[in-house]
Amino acid sequence: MTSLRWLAITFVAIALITGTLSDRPRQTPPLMLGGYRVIAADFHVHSFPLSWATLAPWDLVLEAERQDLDAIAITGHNNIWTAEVGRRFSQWIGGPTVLIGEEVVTPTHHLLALGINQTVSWRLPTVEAIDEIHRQNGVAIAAHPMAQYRESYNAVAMSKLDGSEVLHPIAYVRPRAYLQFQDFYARLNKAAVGDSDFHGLGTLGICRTYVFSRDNSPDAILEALRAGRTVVYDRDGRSFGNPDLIRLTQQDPAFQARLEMDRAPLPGPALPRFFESGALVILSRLAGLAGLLMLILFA
Amino acid sequence: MSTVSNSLWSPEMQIMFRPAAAYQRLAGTQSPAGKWWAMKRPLIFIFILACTVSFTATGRLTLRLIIPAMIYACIEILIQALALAATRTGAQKLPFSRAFALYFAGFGPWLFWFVAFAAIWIFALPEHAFRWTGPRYDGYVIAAFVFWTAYVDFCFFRYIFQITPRNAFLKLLTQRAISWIPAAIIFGGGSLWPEIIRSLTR
Repeated sequence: MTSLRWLAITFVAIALITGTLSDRPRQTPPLMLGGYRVIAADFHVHSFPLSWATLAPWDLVLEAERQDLDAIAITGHNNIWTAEVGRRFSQWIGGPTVLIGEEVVTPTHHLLALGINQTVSWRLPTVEAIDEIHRQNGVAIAAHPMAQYRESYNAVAMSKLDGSEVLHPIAYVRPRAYLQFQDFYARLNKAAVGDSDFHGLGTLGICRTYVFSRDNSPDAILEALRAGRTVVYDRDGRSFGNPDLIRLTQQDPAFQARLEMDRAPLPGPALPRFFESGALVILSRLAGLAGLLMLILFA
Repeated sequence: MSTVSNSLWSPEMQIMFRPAAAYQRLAGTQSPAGKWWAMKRPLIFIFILACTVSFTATGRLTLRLIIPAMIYACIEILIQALALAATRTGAQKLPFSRAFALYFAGFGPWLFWFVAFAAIWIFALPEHAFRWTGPRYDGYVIAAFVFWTAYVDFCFFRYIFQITPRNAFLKLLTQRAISWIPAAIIFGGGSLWPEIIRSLTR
């Protein structure tokens, strides 16, 4: 009995050591294209507490660094204080750009407010909420605009939106929802945005937006969003966004190399992909799972 | 008199599948003394919860996430302790530390769910993991675990506090209200109210 417990502890210790050693940020040099800096961004990221997420703002900043994201927007559910904490922490450690954001969660639709400085009330009608975001010099993005949210976006709201999420993890789960995102984006014809809607599950930045920005400051990123200078690639290589910029990205080997890394693990059979993770990660996974199971059984 | 630690299996395993029999037997056993024994079960719970957080976010066990996640999860331990203290009325003969440890020993189903959930995110491709852990599948699994753990906790109140089934059921409801409502507010409070309105008007 005691030996089984020690075996469990040994497995867990191996998993912790190998997992922690392999936990290094992936860093690529800044990429310039068409006279702009290409910013890899995820504008829909949630933190603990209050937003059904598991990582705190400072954990998100470190995770964004590990995933080689140049910018994130921490978008608390109907609050902005978690984003303010994340921004201060990132400034302190010299981490990625953090935009103050909010996911305005209402009973009828979800709306991303990026670059704001005060909470936007979820009780406001859609058009008034977008006006309030613009009054604060922010950017309004329709979050995962599935068919059931359509009624909230009338013609006036559509004319005022700055962009929409054309790629979101739901797209990989429900192909019909993906078609709805694409349809909404085609009708809107403004900035294309890809976001992971990260709650702590999966990879932060698994869906990301390439923003063609003057620099990596929040103001420059917001200006690029307003101007529609964005490109989004899904895991199958399909692209959305500004056609001229898409053409530039397709012709640039450095961008294509970065895209290849950002899309990992690529679609395909699960087992070979698992073994592509590297020896330390594989050891951390296998020893960790075995150790945790043995802890439950025997500890 | 036997002690809890004499079995090959952990208290979680003993309780999980036959909670009524296990709690009846454990009610007549002695526990090792000391605060460590009382805190061991909650610590195992928050450690495995934190490991799940690390696995699902990064696909590995990294101290960078496990240590802070354990600190945040202490809130859950505190809430559960308050809920247990509030429902212990009438059973003060039982030391709180022993009640606390035995109560957390009933969290076995959640621990198994955490590990299974982590395993999906480790082995499956993201698109499959999103599908299998999405509301369409995982919602049913969570519902099953909610009922399973409710039965386990009902047995805890019934046999450890040695009260009638009716009182045990009332204590279970009280415990759930005290512990789950604050946890839901802390975890997802920002959107709770609009989400309630949406589900009522759907």
